[in-house]
Amino acid sequence: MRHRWHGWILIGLLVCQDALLTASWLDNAHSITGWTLILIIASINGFVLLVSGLILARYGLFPWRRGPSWRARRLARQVLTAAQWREFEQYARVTVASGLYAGRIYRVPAGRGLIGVYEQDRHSMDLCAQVVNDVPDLDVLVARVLALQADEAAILQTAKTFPARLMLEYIVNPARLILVRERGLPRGNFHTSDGTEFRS
Amino acid sequence: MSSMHTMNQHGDTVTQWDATDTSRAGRAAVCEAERIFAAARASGMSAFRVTGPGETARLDTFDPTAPRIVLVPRLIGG
Repeated sequence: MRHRWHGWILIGLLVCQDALLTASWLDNAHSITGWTLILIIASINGFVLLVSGLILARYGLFPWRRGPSWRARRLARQVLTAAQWREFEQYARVTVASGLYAGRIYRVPAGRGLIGVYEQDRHSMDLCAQVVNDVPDLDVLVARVLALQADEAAILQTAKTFPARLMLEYIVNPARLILVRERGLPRGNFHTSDGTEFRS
Repeated sequence: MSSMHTMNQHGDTVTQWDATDTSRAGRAAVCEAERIFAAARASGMSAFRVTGPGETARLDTFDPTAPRIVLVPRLIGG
């Protein structure tokens, strides 16, 4: 684990703080100034303890805190490239280049949102592909990224497509979105600005 | 050492084996991984062979020499 040494440094700091506290207590326990010094050092000690605890919990270094999210994060780090992981940490999404269409990229969000399809940097449509089982959100991302990298044709066949312009229309007109949620998407063919046709 | 990650509600369950281990325990580990793979595929999960970050291929039959296999739940149109 790359972050484990952080925990050891913080534990070392705590041990040093404790040693300092004990030494101060032995030297200064007889005066008010001494007790003030001890209180200051104890406060610093408590702060370091709190911060180290938060950092250790954040990186899952407590074995009993290694829940589904921690495991999903570990798998994502093993499967995604360094660039994809950086993008995920910065923008909460991962970009996958299409292997079938030149100039096309997929932007996979961290949660269960729509996958954005971009043709020559233009948002052309969205794909909705969900996993059938209840898994952590990061596992959903990994599943979609793997499917797009290894089996793009299958995911394009499976996913429901939404023209980007159509989604914008729903944002502008929420009443339409309510109707769609009640009755489902209107059936028919849609065209994006570049003339591509999609079936809904 | 190879590993297989089966996604589920607990994150993922990891199964490990060593394809070069010809001992009884080693063969048993490979058989167990193959059984889990078959069960997952039968339940509709998709399998991917991951040889490195970003290097992925679809897997239809169990490959004990694959360094990492990820079993993901079936994707459906939302």
